[in-house]
Amino acid sequence: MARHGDGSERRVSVRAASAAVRWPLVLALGLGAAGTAQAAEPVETGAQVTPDPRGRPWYLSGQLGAILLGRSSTGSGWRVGRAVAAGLAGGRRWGAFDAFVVGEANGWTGSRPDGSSDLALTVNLGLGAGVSYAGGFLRTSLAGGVSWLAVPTDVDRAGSAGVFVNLSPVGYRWPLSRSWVLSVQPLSLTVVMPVLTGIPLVEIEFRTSLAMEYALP
Amino acid sequence: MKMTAWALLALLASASPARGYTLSSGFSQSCHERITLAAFAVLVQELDTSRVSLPASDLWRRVAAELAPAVLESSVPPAIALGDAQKFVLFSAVVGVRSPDTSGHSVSNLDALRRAQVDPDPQSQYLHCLRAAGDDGFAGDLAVVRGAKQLVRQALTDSAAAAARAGPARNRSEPFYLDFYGQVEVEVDEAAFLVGRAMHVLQDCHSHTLRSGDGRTIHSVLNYIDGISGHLETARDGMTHSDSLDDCRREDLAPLVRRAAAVSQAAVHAALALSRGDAAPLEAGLGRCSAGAADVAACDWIEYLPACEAALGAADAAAAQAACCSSTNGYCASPYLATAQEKLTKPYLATVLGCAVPGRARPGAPGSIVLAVALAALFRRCRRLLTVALLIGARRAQAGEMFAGAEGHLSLLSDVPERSVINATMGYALRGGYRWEAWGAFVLVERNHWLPTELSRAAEPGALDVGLGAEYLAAGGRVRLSLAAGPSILWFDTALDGKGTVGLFIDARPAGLRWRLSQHLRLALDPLAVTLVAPVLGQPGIRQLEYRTLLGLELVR
Repeated sequence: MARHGDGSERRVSVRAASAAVRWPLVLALGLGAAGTAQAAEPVETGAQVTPDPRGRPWYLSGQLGAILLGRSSTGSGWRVGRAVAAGLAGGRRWGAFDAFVVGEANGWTGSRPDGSSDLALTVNLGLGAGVSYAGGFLRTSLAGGVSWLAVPTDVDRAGSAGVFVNLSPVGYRWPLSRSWVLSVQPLSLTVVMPVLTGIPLVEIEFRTSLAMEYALP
Repeated sequence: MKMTAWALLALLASASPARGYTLSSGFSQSCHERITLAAFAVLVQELDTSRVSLPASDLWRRVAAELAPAVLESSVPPAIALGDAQKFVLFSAVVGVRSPDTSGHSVSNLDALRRAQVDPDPQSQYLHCLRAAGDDGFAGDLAVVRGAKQLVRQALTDSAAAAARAGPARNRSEPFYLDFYGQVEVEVDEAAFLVGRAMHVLQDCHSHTLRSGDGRTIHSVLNYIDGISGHLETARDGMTHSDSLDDCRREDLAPLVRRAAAVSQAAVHAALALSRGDAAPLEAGLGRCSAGAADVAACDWIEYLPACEAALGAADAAAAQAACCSSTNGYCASPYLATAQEKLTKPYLATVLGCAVPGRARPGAPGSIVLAVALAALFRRCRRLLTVALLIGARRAQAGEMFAGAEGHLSLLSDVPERSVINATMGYALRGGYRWEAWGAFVLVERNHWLPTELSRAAEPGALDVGLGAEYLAAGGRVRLSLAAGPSILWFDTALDGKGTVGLFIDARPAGLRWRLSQHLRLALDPLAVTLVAPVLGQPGIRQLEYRTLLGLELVR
């Protein structure tokens, strides 16, 4: 039987391994899971052994992220989904470490003086590096690169180029099958600066993201 | 983990956000307000306040009380006993003179600053007596002078119309940014508010133009929008905006500041006369002084060099070149030239990354220094609590695992897109509870301090938060998820609410890391957690959404 707690010995049982598929949903609801911590090693499901996709060298990933909640500029109001991002990444792993290329579209809205929304959208293209630990269950990554302003704000012009940085301090990853991995990034910090001249355009996002990762054979 | 945030904060906090004479804020001293109040104070006893309508709500009084320590104390002679209506008029004028720079936003709201200061609309530049992007050469000077005059004329004319009204129709609502609350709508006396806006233009016409020694004649108009963009060519665009000219406390600028104050006072006179149907003082102010004029403050408010204006009117380029002021003739020997060439406006990143801005240090310390001092003070207070936590943790549990710990937290840049860019909070907490293997229940008590930006930069006591929560240890205890909720208690008197006001506290930590330091000691790091500290739930309320980084020590038995 698996024991939890510091310094305790853990072994992967058939029961815990079969729970690996269920845990992501449970954890995504905020209840957490420990049964997947050994997932970088081969995982038993019933009578057969499934290689953990989190250990394969090449991967592709699609991700969606958003600022779930923010305050409005006026009074005490709230804004839901003020910024969203969708992107693709592809990378190569060397043991616990990996390097990747990422491209994403990142849109957000600001407020005009009359209260209407001013939409901006950037295309971000960058390089990043990550490290996985706790048996592949956890991952930390940092990415940065160029940010192009595709849809400008009222006071900017389309096409200006700047920089972006994304820091994902701790993310959870669960294998769903032989090839697929579900990743949840509860909170990450993204700073996008597509306009560096004059008073720079700075967009700061504390995003919550979900990603599906496909491990290439 | 927050190095990016720190670097960005330093960038934004050290960049110059203000144009024109400075406003009172956590990072700058009161200039516009002082000059405006001094102008009104002289006339306050003459004001006919019989038509002034005091708002039913006392919100304006509370906001005024918040403003007072920063802008009022040295401006109104204490011997003058002011009635409520007079106070309301003065308050409205102060809101008005601040309005062109803030539009009711935080002084450190980067989005609003960009929108206001990079706005290509010429009117938005004339409001600060600055060249618009297309105002080139000597003709550009003249375009600004005429644009600024038109804005002053319009504001004072509208003010007179508002002064003719009585009752609540005389007032209007204006946004005003209060620390921690955000924008609130306050009622102002529209007539006084508009006089305040007109004064802003007049005062900026003294800090954004190169003038003659007596301050009466404009030699050249400065340029902000091309300076901040980094594309300014002096021969075409004029001189770059200078932060030094914005400092109303410089001795070498005293003649200009005195002139700006005298003109502001004359503008109040003109507004009062206009409300009685007499437009002569306004026309005199916006016109040239006649030879031998006794009261030179009543005229030449915004006057360009006469010979240059005549040459431009005659479209005589050669005459203009000879009569107008430019770098080739030392701007007609303006005594303020040397000052105007200090602390020139440059693109923010060039200013920050260059780290070599000449001249004196800014009056307000960068936010990072303020934060460091505040953190040091918090650490001293936190030591005693840490000791208590260690004693509690040392008690042996009868069964399962008992734990107790102390932690510190810091949040930066939260809510930045539409709030103050320096939305910093910090604090410390005690956290103790009981674990049954992976699951645990705990009590959390924390102090959360807040850093204001609008009218001061002294850290406020913030809130006392108490939470009951549950946690889960994953990955063999290396990861901790937790959720806690409880009351949040306001721990100081704000402008609108009293200490002890109770609201809501929610603390969610979705992915914290833990390390075993010894048999009984753990180190915990939550790189990013989200916390709602909302001690005031009404309208307007205080709802701090904080993205925190937390570091703590935990004893387990």
